[in-house]
Amino acid sequence: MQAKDLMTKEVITVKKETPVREIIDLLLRNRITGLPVVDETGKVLGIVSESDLVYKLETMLPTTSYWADRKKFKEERWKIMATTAGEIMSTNLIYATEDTPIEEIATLMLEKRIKRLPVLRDGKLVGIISRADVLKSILAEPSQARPVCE
Amino acid sequence: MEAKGIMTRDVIVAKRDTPVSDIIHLLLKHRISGVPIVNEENEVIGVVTEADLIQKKKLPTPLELIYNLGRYMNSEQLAEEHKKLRGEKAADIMTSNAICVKEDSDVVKIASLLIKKGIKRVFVTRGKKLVGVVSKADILRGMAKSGEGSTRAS
Repeated sequence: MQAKDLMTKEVITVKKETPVREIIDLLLRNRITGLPVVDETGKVLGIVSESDLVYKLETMLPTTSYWADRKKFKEERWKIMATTAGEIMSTNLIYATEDTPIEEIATLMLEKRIKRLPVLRDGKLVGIISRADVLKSILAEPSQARPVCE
Repeated sequence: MEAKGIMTRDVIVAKRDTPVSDIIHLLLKHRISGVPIVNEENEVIGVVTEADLIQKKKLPTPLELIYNLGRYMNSEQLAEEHKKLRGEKAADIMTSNAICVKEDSDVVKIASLLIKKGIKRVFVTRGKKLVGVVSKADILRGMAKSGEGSTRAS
């Protein structure tokens, strides 16, 4: 089984200029945990994940709680919401190509602790594989054996 | 902002003897990445995550890879491994130390905890009983909402 058998072809993407508040909205509305950032030609520039966003919140928000300093908390929050995809995306791109085998995909996801892997053809995005896609393959009964003689 | 303000209260749970195939269906149906395993008293005794399922017995060890001269499993072997995995129970594959917080835990502290431990969710308990879960998505939802509209009196 290879990347092309598992991948989702309709990928929700954002541009470098997309603000964080819009990214959060896309993630929550589509119940996904990350999005590729692409340019006009479909070239993948990076990935923005909910982990990147939570990390950003954690590092930018005052360590005092919301209740202790509400004003500061809100100011910081607005700053974060206005940040763009380009500023927070991971550019250290880990990806698969259409013929990457499933074991390699699973290994990459676990070793690199990532939840999704973009599938690229000549640097352009053609699909995405989530951990859920790998799980589906565990459930799938093996397809019927191919006829030996054709 | 505290855990109880952002947590999801309807937690999808499984029991020790829930088959792995049912857990996979739960994860896919509800689009979640892990389920707590609870006992009869609704106390958390472990957790099963996507990572546990992807990892368990499905990946060849480096030694196996060398033995197979770097070749991956063929499709029959893979199907066999998957079939075995589907027949196992939650208790066979769960991680038995789940991370829990209290309802009044601060959200920023929870965010730190998730990052430090490299986990995606914490369970919220009252006494020992499970009352909610806070995922990264819950934190983002809380942040997207907070400060919009009226301000609550403290």
